[in-house]
Amino acid sequence: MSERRDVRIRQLKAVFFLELKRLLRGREARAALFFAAAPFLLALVAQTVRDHAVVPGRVEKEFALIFQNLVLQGTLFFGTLFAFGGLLRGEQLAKTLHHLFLAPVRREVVVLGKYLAALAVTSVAFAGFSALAYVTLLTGAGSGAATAHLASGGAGRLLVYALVAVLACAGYGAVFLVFGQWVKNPIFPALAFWGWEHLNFLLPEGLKRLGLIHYLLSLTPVKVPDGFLAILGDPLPAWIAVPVPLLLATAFLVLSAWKVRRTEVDYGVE
Amino acid sequence: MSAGAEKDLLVFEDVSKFYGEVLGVDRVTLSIPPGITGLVGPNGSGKTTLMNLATGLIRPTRGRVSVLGIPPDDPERLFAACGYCTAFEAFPPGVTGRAFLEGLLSLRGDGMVAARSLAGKALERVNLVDAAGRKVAGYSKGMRQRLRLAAAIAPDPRVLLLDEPLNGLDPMARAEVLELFRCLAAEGKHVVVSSHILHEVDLLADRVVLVKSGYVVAEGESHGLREEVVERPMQVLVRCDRPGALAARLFAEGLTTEVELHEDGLGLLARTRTPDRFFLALNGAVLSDGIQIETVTPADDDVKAVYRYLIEGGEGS
Repeated sequence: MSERRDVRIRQLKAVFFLELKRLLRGREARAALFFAAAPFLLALVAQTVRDHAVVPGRVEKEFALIFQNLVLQGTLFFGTLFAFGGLLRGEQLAKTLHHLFLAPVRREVVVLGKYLAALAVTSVAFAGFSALAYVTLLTGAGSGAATAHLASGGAGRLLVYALVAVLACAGYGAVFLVFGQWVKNPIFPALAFWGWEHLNFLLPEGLKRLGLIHYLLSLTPVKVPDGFLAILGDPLPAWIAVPVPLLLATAFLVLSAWKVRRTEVDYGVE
Repeated sequence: MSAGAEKDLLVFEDVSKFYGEVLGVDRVTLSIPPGITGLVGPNGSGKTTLMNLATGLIRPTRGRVSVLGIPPDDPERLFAACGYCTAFEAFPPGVTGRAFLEGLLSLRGDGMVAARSLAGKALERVNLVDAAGRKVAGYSKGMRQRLRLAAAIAPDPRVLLLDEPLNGLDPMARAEVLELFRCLAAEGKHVVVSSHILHEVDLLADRVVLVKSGYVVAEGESHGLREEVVERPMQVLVRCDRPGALAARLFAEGLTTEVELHEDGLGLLARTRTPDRFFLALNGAVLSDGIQIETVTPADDDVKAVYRYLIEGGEGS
């Protein structure tokens, strides 16, 4: 039994590295990288045109605004859609999926390996570029102030932002993986989902919990006002806000594994 | 069929596959033993569907499939025993032949060293070593075909399913690949080859399965298959010194329905519905009538003739 488990772990690693190479060569990862780089480019432009020094406290607020409104509800959402939505759908369209399905490996292992590879790529991209954006904005405060700010809690907050980005990639990624398996063009359900997530701030507190964004925003270290129409709700404690996105990702992965076992590969040869 | 009996067979049991309203195959029941089996039929007849069903790429609408007793929804066991060279053309973008093969073989979970070793042997066997470091995108059709073949044979499976494996190969490569199939069959493997190139199947296969419009219309040993066409008399070519006398004897015994005498006066073409008695009568003609028979050749006892009768509805050669 443990020998079989060892083989499956080696197979998982093999799928992971194969997928990593495929992703890095493909357009999906390039699109995700483009989206991930957007906040960094914005910070770079902001820093270039700024003609006065800023205090680190203001940088925290600016970055929180970018992270909440641009990253979580924009670039990360659509970046993960491109990266995860095409994991199986993309191979079906490229007519290469059969290569994996004709190997002596369970399809569930294939799905998990692909998911982990996409998670690695998107996590590094979104956490990395978010961190770069934060540091870029902070340079506006001068190198001495920036270093002092990082040393006095800024680095910890930066780490939290990075972890929130990883959690968001895990949650949205699993959802989009399933969208890609169920519908030919996952953009339409994704847009509906985006609308639901985007309007989360208008929902009463009970319904807010049905949106992944509520859990992610609860974890961000600096809160940004949602606007005058927002219905206020208390942020969730970390012991709820961290496991729920992970459980959601697990549930969608189980759904994906169920679906992949029933997936037929037929490119219309006959 | 018992589980024990299935352990050495590819089994389709009352299998149907519909693509929505479109028929793929219908009520197919087959048991394929070791050796080379040719799956013959025109495009769209259901050959690829049968292979895809056997490997779990598609699922039957009805019925049951197993390969050496392994159901297609158990890929770990199935693809340890079975290799499938598909007709699908695509490869992952940007890979070299060797990287593609090593990547696939690494999925077995035996580690990269083992994967490299298997890939190297397979590339040698299909004569693709020199091109292995080049990107697959620059390969000719024949090279891609050989790479697919290498992927199928690399793990040394007991069963090989080969969908149109000779497509795109030049004559030299065809000869090499056919020899490879013969070697694999001689090792006791199942080699199932789908093709619409009849003479190659005729030369290669021990058994033939003829498929038309989703139905299996005939199956059996290549030559025995001719006997399934009961409504068509078998044509036999006889070269002898007195064809007129032989024809008279055959008519007298009611063993032929039609005879054409050769213009050179040294042979005839006879049509018979009772080939066994016909051949016995030839012995009698030699012994009793002293007719000198030079050669006796069944003129339509090949897959091509059966194919024409059953699939094209035409006359035999």
